[in-house]
Amino acid sequence: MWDDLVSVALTGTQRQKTEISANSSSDSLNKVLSQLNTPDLEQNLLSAAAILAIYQRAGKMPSKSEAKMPEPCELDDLPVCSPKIVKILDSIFKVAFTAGLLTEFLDLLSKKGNRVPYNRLCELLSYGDSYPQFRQGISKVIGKRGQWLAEQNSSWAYARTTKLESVSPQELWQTGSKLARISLLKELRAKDPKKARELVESTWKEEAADYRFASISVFKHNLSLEDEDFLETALDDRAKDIRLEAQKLLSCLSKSKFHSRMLERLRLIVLVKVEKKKTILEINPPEKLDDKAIRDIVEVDPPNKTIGKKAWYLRKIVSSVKPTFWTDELKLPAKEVLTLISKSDWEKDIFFALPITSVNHFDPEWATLLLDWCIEKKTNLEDKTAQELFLQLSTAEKEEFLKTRLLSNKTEKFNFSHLTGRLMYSHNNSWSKDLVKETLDKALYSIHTSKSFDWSLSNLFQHIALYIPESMFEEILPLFEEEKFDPKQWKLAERAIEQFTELLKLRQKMLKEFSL
Amino acid sequence: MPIKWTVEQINALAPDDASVSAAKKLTKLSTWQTLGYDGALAWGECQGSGKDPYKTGVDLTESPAFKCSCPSQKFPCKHSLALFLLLASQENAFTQKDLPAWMVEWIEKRVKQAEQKAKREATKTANQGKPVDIEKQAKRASEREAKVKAGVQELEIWLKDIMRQGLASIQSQNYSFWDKIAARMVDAQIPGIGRMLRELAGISTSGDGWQERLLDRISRIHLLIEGYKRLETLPEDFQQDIRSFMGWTQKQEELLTQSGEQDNWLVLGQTIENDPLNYNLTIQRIWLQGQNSKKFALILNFAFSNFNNAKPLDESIETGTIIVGELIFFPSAYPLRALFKTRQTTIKADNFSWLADISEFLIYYTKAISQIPWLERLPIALENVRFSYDDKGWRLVDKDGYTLNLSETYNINFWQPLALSGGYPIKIFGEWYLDKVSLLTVYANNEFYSFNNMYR
Repeated sequence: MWDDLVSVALTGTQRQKTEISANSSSDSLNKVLSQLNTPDLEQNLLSAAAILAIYQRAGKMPSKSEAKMPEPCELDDLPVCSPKIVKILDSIFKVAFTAGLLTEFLDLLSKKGNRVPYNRLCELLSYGDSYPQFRQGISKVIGKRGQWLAEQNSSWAYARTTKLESVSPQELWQTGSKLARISLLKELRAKDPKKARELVESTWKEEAADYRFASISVFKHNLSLEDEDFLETALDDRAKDIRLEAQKLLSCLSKSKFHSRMLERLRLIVLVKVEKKKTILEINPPEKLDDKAIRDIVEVDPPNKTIGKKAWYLRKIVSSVKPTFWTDELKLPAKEVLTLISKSDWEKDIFFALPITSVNHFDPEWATLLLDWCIEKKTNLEDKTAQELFLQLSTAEKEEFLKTRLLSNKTEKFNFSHLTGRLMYSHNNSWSKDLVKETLDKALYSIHTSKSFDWSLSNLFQHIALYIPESMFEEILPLFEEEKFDPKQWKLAERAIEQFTELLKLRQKMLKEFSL
Repeated sequence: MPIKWTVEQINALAPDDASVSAAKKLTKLSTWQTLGYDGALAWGECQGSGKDPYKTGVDLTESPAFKCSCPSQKFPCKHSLALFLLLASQENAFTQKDLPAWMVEWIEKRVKQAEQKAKREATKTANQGKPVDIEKQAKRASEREAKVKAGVQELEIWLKDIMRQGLASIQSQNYSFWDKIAARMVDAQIPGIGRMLRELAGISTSGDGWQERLLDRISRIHLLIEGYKRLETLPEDFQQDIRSFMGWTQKQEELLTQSGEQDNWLVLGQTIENDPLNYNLTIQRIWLQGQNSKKFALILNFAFSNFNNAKPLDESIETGTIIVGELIFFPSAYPLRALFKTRQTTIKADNFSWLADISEFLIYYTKAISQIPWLERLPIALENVRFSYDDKGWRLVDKDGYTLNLSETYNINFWQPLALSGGYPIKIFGEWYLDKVSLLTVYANNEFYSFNNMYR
């Protein structure tokens, strides 16, 4: 009956006449409807619609769901952190410049064996979705409830920890999702690299290229000579990306056949000669490559026209041979080699390739050497390359490096936007007291003496605040009080300083709360 | 007795976020030269950038009143807020007990102002008693009735026209088509109908089944004006309902003279939204339930503002607390709307009882709309429900497997209640509106969680 009314209402009473028929199964409804047969058709229609609509609404029956409900979460979760700690988490999220504290917060929380309360899970998981650098930390503090939640939301899948006990690796490898398989591989690679390699080999030929690429990328963890045969096969892969990855991994293995082949090539290119009592480097990259060389070099054409073919081959070969070739094989002191290279026609290309191989071979000595060289000669070095080199150093070596560089220009004002200043951002461990003091001294000197504020300091403050040892807080905070500055200088630096002290104070509060 | 204020409640009084953080900075005891509190009034002297300290006072006897000698344009200023915050956190630092002269002066001034106001009101009431004004009032009332009558006639013709031409003929009409007739109804002093018409605007483009939904809503308006035409033949309470749906407001002063219902009123949930008819009007709905009577009650507050982030009128009411007090219900065949006559104390609730499952709720719903067919929004308190999600959206499922759809219009992040529940059955409160549940509160792990402004 309702459908009839809707149909008339849609076309209009002038086209479709209607009579209200009181023929429903309900007597009381019929009784009301039967009163609606007036000559006014529109009135009848509206009244009947009103009555039927209410009749239907009043008789609404609940519908049943056939959908499968997810299994509820296990209840014996990690203990929840204290409300004070939650408050600290909220403060960290409140403004952008405190977000860096999250790493340490998550670390402290997971060491304490606590989790965040349930009503902070969504916020944290979504944050990790946007900022991957926090994902690992987040997955450790969300407890069982968070894991359970992450299993149901695909954008939080990163937080799921693969359960190795419940499913055998083989089974998971055969049936799991791409993400699950790759995270299984990473986990296995850390514990049992051989097993991980065997799993990859077992299905290698059937996998799609992006899959093969994701799998081979995992080999950088725990890479050893045992992987050589597999990587040599991968060097013949159909996909170039995979061949490049295999090349990169093989060149990290200084005892591999691949490395020997590249070393042979380099030996033919670089010769030490003495002319008129002067040592020079004679460098002759090949004009053409044989088939074997083409296989090893993978990318035969230079990426752009500014690089010639010979220069390109040189870059590829130098970056595949360990840096100690230049000292041990050529029997020259490092500094001298660098000077000789800088005098050669191929300076640009060799200095492009040396940082790459120094990083590949985890050679802190060469890393320091190259960084020093660039700082001294004021050569341009890409930040990313400089950071990679710097990361080869141990904490103590980083400290030493920065300190020496800071102290070396005692008199002149230190320019924090230069390479040393920029490298400070890659010092991501606890800073020593000496280094903090040295850095802040220089920074304060700069604020007190310059006519304009050096904005690179603002970022630097926010970075150091995350790594200053706790025992220095009381000594540092007074140095940054408003009274300690000339009002003009204060005005320039106010925002940066206030953010710095606010960050320090929040961190102080956090550390205190966790030490209880 | 003044009620104890929490930091959150005090911060809610601030005109903006900047004031909150500025006030927080001033909550150091060292910035205050003197601090005093006598149980109803708090005062202090705060050293600011000027030569003399600012003299700041808070009166807690009713809704808090502030005074400060600082030149700030903001109200309450950061000093007043800081003083209030200090009182909430460190009451024993308020050592002075005797009112200083400047506080006495302020109080006297306020008493005087209150007296003047009372006098004005008294004159007004007295004037209302005069025969001349009864006449005037009656004239005004009959003028309005005449306007309404004309408006209703116009609307009747308009509705019948639509029926004659068919809904298909107006499917492609845009908002202005509906705005026009809605505005005519506002002019005829029946804004309630105006609002109902305004809400029809989006239906014809709302997808499958629009014609059914539109006919349903139009017929509801038809029913309302039919009711109005026979007003005298209907019971008194029902008359009030029809008048209030059409847009007559009831005089709160008159209501407050009646005796109310004393109970422990649990605040179940609240929501704030803009009026569809007037975006400068913010509507706050606070849902309560008497712990003894089990009655639901709705407090409505309105605030006019030209800003989008209008401050609602009452932020002192917190979900999950119990207000002990006397409530007066507006006359209705199905009374829901109410207002507080007195509020004695506020306590934190430790549980949430009297709830229904889904089939019980639908029986309750049937009862309600058979009393008042135009009821749009009803309180819904369910227990033992779980959250379920699939490509059709979020739903509530009770222990028997019955389901209700959740409204996603407010962009609520339903992962949040799911996280709180862990997949176990929990208690929820919300509004039943257009066949969906608008979630307002979740009770889980022995806590109330509000969802009205918690979208993270």
